[in-house]
Amino acid sequence: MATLLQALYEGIINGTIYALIAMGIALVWGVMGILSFSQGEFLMIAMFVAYFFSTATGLPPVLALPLCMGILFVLGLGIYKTIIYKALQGPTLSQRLITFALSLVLVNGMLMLFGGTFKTIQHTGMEGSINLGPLVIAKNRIIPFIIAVCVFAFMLWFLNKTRQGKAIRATSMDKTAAEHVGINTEKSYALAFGLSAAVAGAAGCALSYYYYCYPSVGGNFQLFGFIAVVMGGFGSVEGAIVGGLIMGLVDSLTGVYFNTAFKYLGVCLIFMLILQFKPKGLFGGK
Amino acid sequence: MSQMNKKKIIEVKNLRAGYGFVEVVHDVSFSVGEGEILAILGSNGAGKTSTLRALTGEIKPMSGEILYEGKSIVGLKPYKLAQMGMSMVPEGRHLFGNLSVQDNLLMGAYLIKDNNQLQKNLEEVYKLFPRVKERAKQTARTLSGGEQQMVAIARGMMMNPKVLILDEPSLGLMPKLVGEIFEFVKEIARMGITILIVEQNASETLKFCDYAYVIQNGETVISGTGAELLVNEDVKKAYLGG
Amino acid sequence: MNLKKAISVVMIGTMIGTLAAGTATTTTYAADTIKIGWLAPLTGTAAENGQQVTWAAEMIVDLINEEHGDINMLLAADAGLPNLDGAQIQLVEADTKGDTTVATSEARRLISEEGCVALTGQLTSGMSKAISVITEQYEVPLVTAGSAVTLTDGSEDYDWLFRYNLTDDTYIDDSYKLMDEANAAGTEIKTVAFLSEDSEFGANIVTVEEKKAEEYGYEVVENMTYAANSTSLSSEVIKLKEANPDCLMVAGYATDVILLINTMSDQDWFPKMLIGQRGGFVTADFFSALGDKVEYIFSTGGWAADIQKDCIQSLQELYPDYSKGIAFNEGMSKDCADVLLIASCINQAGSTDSAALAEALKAPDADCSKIFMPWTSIEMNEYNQNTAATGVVMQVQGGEYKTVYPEDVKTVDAIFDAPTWSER
Repeated sequence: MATLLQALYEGIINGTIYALIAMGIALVWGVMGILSFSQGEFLMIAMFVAYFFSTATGLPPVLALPLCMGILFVLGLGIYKTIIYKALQGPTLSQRLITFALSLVLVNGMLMLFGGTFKTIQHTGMEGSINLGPLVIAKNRIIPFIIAVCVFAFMLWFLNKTRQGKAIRATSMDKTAAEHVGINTEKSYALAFGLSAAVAGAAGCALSYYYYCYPSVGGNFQLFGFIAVVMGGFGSVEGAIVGGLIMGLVDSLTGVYFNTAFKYLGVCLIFMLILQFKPKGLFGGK
Repeated sequence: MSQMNKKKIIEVKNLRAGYGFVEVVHDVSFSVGEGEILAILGSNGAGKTSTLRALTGEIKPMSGEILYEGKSIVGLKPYKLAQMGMSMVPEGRHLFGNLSVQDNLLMGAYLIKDNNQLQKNLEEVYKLFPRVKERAKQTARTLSGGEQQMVAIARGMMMNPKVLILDEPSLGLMPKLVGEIFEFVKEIARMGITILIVEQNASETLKFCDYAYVIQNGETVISGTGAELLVNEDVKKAYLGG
Repeated sequence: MNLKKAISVVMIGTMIGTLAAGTATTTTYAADTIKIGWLAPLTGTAAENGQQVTWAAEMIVDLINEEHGDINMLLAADAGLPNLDGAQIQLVEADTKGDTTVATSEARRLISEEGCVALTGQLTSGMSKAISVITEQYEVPLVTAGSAVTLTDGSEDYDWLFRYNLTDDTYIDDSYKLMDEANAAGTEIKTVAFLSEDSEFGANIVTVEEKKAEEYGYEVVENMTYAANSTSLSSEVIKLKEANPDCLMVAGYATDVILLINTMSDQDWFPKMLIGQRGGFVTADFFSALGDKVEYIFSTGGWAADIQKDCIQSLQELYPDYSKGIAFNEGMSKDCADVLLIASCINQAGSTDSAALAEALKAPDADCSKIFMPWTSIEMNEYNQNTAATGVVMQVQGGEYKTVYPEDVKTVDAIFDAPTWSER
């Protein structure tokens, strides 16, 4: 019983990171029909920011959260206005692949700047764990979880309750209609891209609590994020969150109850199963 | 009778427009008088929709003048024109399919920031379109073609427009429904809103519009009042079945 | 000339220029420079460690090339190789990027373009196997410290592969013997579990670990492999906690080891004995990233800092100058010892002819008191393995590794029953 509880708990905690990546991918796909291959790199850059912040000031990484999200938001806006905007005017194939090229540039750029060495934050200010019955809750994992949940809440609120958020939602549903009701769809595009980067930035800040940071760290998380998005239904932000959590659970439960060597196999099987019965993903979507 | 005694709210002069290097509109000129129902007619591929796209900023014209209330609006994006009071109900309706009818209407009032005004507009639109009110909570995607068209027009009304542009509202609708839709258009015109309607269905449109232009091969070829064109020999042969 | 033409001319010109510049870097050296090829991961996840080991190799080469009468190491006293009129060694470095395909093509380049007479480096067993395809083809010696038993057990034809360092057989033997000692000292160790990464390194170790568990009479309660650079090791730790082995043996590289120990700390579980099989456990990052969480962890090793040989102490004093302060460790010792041995054998052969060099490598005539490894002699068997190499087991006590096994070499007693996280 204790094992099951711990496995479920660990699955959800890990799943929140995948969910954050997935949200960014879903948002960008929903609004502008582009596959964001660079979410992992945004996560990576934020991890570096959190690492340097924490190492320089000795403060816990969570305090770097506004910095991580802010820097990534601005970076996302900048990338949209310079690269993505142009790509959208070109052929569909380059639209779909532009972020792939971007991710290569970012990885190699960071490699040149900071080398291939990996860094971990020594003292996050949260050592030790709390025992909740049979469950062991590490303090180092609680903060990332709280960060993720706050970001989920913020994004859902923003997209559903604010005027600008509704404009973004409308743009993703029907760009023509959105334009005609007076929505500046260009602004929606830029904001959506910036937000997706910021969300990945939050993931990076959260991850820096217990994972190591190096230029290629984005790769594996990006992959899980993609699968999560397809499971949840491309374009649906809610679906992405659920998809990410499912990924975390499958990863954890397969590892504990079957064989740790088959974790990825388990993920892929569940993925295929879901697509078999719900081809458009759990939440439908585009 | 001509349009001369009405203030021109929209003026298009010698418009040339197209896509990439392909010119579709060669020489289109027309004007819309304030408060009138103006129709632009022509068969499929004549260049009506492209003209409209150039007017509303979806595509950039190659040359020519487009004036709105006397000022050039060439190159302005559709959302900017919406802010200026020009509301467009696009061809194919383009509802926000997954939203309810009411949410579609509320999105139509995106530019209205005052909540009181918004509620007022909603009430008025519901008064105008009682069938839409009945379906308020229903998901837009699940409505019939005719109902969707009404919702689209209702949405277009939510921003208190000065000009309401309708792009092929009768497309895909049964004749009986077409008549109903056009009744609504007349009702809206009576409220003082200028209407620009682009249509393939010449016979029905000519029956209620004030003035009309016919576009053929990307050029405006004939113009006149609805009544005049209904009995015009060329128009009858080409568009009214002889 | 219109714009399009101008652009093509510039592009072609640039390409030609780059090619020319690329080939031009092979400057001609004096005839008395002997090149030894060095392959290590200088970028990628293992780059931190790869760079540190490379500095160590550079240090050894400097000591060989320059006159260092004060350092009691082979070839240090004279400048260059005495039997070849002071010929200088040039270490030609290549980046494997941690990828076997890159390593293979780099190996080919080192031999065919650079003219290296022998290859070595910071090589995993997997890398060694990949590179030996090239070295066997070109008949150039490859000296490796990778520990997989299969490299020198005759199962494959590695005629040109030489290993002076230990194989997993010895390391694992030492591990089980240490567990025996624990039992003798009163700490009950009956069950063992294995956690190994899933490439050549881990796969080879597990085979040996399983075989010997039976020999030594220990019950295997859990045997897991995991993918290197996993996004999470939580489920692995959950299973370990459930199985609760008395002793856990881990084979992994630095990134995963750090994640593992952190995850174990998060889930509040630590076995009575945790024996790391070198790899990530003997890197500088292990200490810097985990702080005091490394206390009580064991690792097998081919070298220890507290072994009493003066060249070992000298190197420990010198190395920080090359590494901006990082200490000389077990991981680097084995690989740069290979560099020293290659140089010594070239000197012994009196030439760089590959047949003569191979002969010397098969029977090095080297004074082991002047080699900074714990060996007292070198005896090469028919498969080019040094059967006289001995190893140690170390334990982190007070923030650094101390030798706790074997009896005749150890500097402190092992602490067999590690306290739980909360007890620390």
